[in-house]
Amino acid sequence: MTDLDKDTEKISRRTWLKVATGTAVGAAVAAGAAYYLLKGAPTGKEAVKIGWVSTLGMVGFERALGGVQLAVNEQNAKGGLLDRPVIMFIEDDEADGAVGVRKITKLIEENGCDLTIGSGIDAISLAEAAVVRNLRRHINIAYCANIDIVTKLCSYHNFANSNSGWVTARQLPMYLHDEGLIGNKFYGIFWDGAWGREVGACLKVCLPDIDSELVGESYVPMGTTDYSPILLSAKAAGANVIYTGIFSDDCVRCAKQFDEFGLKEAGIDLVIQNTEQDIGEGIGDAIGGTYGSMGWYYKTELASSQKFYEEYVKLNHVFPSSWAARSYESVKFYFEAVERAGSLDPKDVIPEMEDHPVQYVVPVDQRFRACDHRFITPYVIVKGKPPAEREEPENIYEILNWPTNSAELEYPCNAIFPDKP
Amino acid sequence: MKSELIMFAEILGQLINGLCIGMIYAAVSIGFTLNFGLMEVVNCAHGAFYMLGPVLSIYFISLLAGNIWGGVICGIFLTTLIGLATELIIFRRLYGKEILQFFVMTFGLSLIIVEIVKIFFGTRYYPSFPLPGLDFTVNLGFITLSAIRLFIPLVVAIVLLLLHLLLHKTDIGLIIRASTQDLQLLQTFGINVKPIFTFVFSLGILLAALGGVLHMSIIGVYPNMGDALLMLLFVIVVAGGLGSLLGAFIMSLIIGVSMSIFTWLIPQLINIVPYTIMIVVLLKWPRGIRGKRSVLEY
Repeated sequence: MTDLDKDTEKISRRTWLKVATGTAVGAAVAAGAAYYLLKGAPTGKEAVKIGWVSTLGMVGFERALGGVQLAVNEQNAKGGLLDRPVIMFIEDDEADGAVGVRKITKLIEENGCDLTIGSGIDAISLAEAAVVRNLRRHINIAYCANIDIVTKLCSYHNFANSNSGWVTARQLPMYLHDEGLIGNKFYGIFWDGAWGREVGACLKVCLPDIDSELVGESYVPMGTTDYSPILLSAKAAGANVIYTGIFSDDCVRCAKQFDEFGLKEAGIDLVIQNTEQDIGEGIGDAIGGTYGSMGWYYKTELASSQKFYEEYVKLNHVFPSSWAARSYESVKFYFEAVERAGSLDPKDVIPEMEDHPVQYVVPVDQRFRACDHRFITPYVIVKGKPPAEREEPENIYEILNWPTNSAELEYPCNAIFPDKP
Repeated sequence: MKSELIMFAEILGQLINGLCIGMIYAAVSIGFTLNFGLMEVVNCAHGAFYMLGPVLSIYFISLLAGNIWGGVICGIFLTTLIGLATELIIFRRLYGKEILQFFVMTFGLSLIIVEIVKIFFGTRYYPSFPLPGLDFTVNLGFITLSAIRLFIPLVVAIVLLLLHLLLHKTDIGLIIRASTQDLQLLQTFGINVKPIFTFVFSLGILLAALGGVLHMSIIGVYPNMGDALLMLLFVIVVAGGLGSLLGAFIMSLIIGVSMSIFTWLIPQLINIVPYTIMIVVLLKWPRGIRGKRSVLEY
């Protein structure tokens, strides 16, 4: 048989039948397996379903998921929620808004999740928030620090467990300036997204109050790999502070390249607005001497905080990040609201989540404020330790300040809940 | 005078930075062009091998208790071996088939490699780390340069010089170049071209892995890093002139420097810069800047 014959060979009826039968049997088996997996193993009572959706490949999210898992495990150890077991569904949005929408829709509609949590990237969070608003069936807690998620594009069913954009862009530079830790010529590097724009705008408002100026700024796409052109530009512009409003892998790359070009030795300070345990670990030795803020750090006297970090390490074999703590708190917060409401129905649970102060792992009262479902919480201001100053390898930050006055964290609330019943 | 010096230093810094990135693209795109030039195949899995090189390097670095140079050499070597095996098992059966068939097959292979890497190494981002002996800066007074960004262009330049010598000063190079001119005539002379194909394919993969490792040393590694690069490779080889090594080299530098300059001036535009350059080039030179009658020419 020649190659030509091979290429044009007809498929026999027998082969067709074999392929069709094989495909049908395979599809039936796959459908059965998928149904079993999606519905979860039989548990006796119908389970409370928690859905996780985020970009699992990005620095930050995997540890955050560990916090949810710990909260779920603890709840199940107590006998479950409303006498029901709590189960989890985990989805990866692959840093793609369309995938995120598909995944959260699946979690709500197919899996029947009572709570979804996880989204943190602006565009994805906002796209998912729209699904939540349209379905009005469950409660969603997003990490997205963008104000839009709870204001202009808000939903009564959405909560945001972060307020860093607004709060930190004032709190952090003001503290560092007042303590004389940094200079007064800022160069800003921000994500070219809603959150990054918000941070940039807040910083511009804040700087004149601390006798500082913005000598330059760059808005970069998320996932920018080479920050060196911007860093060189910042140096040439005479900046003595590089202030970043970027996150996750981007932060790691930017800080590594900051170190690669010896900018610290050139007298420039790097301020990472949203730093993290895992970001610091990714940056490695170069985290030493940088400034930043985060939602929680494990070096606190609070017993519940110590217990959380010990249990987290036992479960996940890595150090918890502040996002891990925030996940843990958010899910516990939801569980307690459900217990108070005695129901899983969002219309009963949401009022219980509003304006209810709690202290879990942060030594300050925190709450989801009723007017816009924004989490009101302080941010710890930290300084990265060089390796020689670390008492233990994971203790990579020194706490400079942990604000305790929640009133200082308030800012205008202009939310409208179009879907409020 | 001082501000002029600062401006000069800034522009020079951006050019060196762009040159560094451009040279990484050059290593990878010349590997891609080699495959296209000889076998006339578009290897969509080239980006996956670009990612595989550093991923395996990280694995070997950990296996060799932190020996970075040893790990990097093992990583590049194993990636090249995997490329060689792929050529023998899969690619060899596809030569002479329609380009679309090859395109789809290699695209599938690319997805398989990426997914396997995700299964075994996870989806996480591995931060960059300095190569030993290169974690310092060079202070020239008016400008501070990073040693690794001076090392990268140097390494790629040496490798490309060796490639040039291989193609133009050795018998095997003569056969490779002759293969691109008239393969059938070469076969009538009794020359077995299959080992040549295997050798050139492996050489292309080696360059991809080298580019990936250099990328790792300044930017880091993540499983999807090859996907973004693949699109850029198409831009470089098409605008450079299909099959032209020099065209691919020139376009790599143009794209690298342009991206550096735009990251500096208007970072929001960085993702459209390569495509805009390609459109402009193809409007002026429809066959690319070095589009030739035959392949593997300068």
